[in-house]
Amino acid sequence: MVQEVIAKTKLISFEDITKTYQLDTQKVHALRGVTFDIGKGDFIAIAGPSGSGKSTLLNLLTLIDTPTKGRIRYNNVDVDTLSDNEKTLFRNKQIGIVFQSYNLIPVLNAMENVAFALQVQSVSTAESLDRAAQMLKEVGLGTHLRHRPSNLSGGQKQRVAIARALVTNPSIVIADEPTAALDTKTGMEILDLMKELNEHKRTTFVFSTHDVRIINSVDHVIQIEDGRLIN
Amino acid sequence: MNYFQFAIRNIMRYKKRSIVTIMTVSLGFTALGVLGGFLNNIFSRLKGQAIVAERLGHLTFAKSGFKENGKLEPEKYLWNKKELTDILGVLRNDPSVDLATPRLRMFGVTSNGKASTIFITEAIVSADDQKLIKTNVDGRTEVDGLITLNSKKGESSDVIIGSELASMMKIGKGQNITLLTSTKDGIANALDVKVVESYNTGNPATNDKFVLSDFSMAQDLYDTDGAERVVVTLKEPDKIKETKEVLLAKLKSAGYQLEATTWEDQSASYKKVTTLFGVIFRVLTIIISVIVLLTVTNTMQMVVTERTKEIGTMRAIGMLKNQVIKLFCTEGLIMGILGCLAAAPVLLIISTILRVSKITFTPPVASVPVPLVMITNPVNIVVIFLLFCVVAVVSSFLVSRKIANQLVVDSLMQSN
Ligand SMILES: Nc1ncnc2c1ncn2[C@@H]1O[C@H](COP(=O)(O)OP(=O)(O)OP(=O)(O)O)[C@@H](O)[C@H]1O
Ligand SMILES: [Mg+2]
Repeated sequence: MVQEVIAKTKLISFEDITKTYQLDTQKVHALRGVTFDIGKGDFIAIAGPSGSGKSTLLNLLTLIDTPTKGRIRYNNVDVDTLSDNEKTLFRNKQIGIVFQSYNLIPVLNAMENVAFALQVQSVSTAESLDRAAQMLKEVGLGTHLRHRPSNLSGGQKQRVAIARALVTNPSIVIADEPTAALDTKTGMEILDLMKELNEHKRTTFVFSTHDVRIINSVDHVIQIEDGRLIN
Repeated sequence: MNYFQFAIRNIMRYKKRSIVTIMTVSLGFTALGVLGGFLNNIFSRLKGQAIVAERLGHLTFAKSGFKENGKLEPEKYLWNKKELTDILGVLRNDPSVDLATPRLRMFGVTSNGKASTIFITEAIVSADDQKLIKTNVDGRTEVDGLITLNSKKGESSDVIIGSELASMMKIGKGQNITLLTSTKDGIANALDVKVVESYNTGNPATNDKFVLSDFSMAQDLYDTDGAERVVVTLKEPDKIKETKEVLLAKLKSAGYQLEATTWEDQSASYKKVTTLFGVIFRVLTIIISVIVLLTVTNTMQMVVTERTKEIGTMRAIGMLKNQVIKLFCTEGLIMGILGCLAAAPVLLIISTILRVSKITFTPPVASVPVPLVMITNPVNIVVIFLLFCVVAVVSSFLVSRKIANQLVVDSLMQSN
């Protein structure tokens, strides 16, 4: 119980994170000292103009990139101390990732795409497919289990991607502009789906967006501009 | 979804490139398969030449030291009648021995009355030689056009001579020549013999001096009732090394300290040719493997580049670097195997066409044309198969390792 209370209060902390890219001779300051916490069960939108550093921030959150300076803690563990393999396994178990352009594997059908996330952590094929099918039903794609990505619409693909992110029961799902490639209506549907999953499963969601309608319908918004948080 | 199924689907997805990879492996496999088949054929023909045409049999027994000094002091290495009978008895009673036959060899000058030239005569027991020339070599029993003396005619002064010797001396069938040589004690001796046949010995080095003569005639000429060598053919020639030791031991316990040489040790040309061609084959194998490696690496590189973002995605979802490499190596391995399998029918067709078309050629260090066919050695095929599987896997490994080690975020940035 005690542990749960602690976990609920704080899942991730960013401590004075800086990210600087070296572009030829020029330095690009994508993040200039960002500090914030994410609590368990949060539903957070990251908003800001193009080039403000949203993707950079999310890439650090998903541990696919490393900060130039500062400390990132997951459940109080400094992720800088993890090896590449440890980070990969941590991502697999704890972090679900949803991409703007879905990034489904073309040779796998919907169910196999979702099951893939389980199979790489050596869950048996049968169990993986079972859980994948279950997850696809939860995101409303129970009738499209055997469709290959090329036969799915954008919204359907993003549902598959969300199912893939959630099937491992991660503590957090991180999505970089999950609705940007979709029309407004489909985008709102995806947002509703995420909200519903957040409420039902208490999964933490962090996503970036440009969409004003989405920003207005989310309680917790982190505003970023020119690599700095503003609020 | 296991690696195998996943790999198969990816292979199907990039059909054109997969076909290029498979064809490359296939071509390499075919090239080495055909080349290896030809070489095996040459080796096997030369082997037949040595064992049968040169009458070396499988093993030659002689007194210890004969091989080194037998030519200098031949009389020292001669067995008397009792010794020969004993030795033949031991050998002929051994179940591994197919044939054991005594031999004498003499050198001298032959003359047709006008011209003379040097000769070497190998004296054979005609009944034994009838059997020896039917010795099975790699499944073949006849060396084309091979003949021997027929003792039933009872003419012990019949000889068969090398075709080049016959044409040098302008000697035809039925004509006589004189053999000038010396007895074991060094006394000059001469004998008129009748040429009943001439034939190509298959070896240019002997074709102009070879005389096949009757053993008992040679014994008279040499003034002996013994022999200097016993040539043996075996029932299981594959076990020649072991059998040799067993037979030597048996002879030793019968009181004879002998030496035995295999046909391979005696046939200088066989060794030279197989060594030379072995080297050429190995060099070509390396060159072809490198070409296949480069081509497969190149096509793999294109596929991997196109799939960089996908690799980034899989890494982001939780696939380890090693798992990515394993996936690509599986793809490479499958294409390597498919390439080799695709080559099998091609090899079969080429081999059949050659066999049916009956093309002949004259291998090096031989003067008789032999059929140009492939003899496929299963061990060679397995080695080439494994080689190309390794080549395909190495290509995949080299290409995928680079991408797998790249930062996940960089792989994901790839735009396509
Ligand atoms: N790999 C990189 N190399 C160099 N500069 C980069 C790299 N990635 C991002 N940047 C720069 O860092 C800054 C922040 O980029 P980022 O992609 O985080 O912005 P963003 O808020 O996601 O923008 P958008 O809304 O267009 O996606 C930009 O100036 C961008 O040009
Ligand atoms: Mg972005």
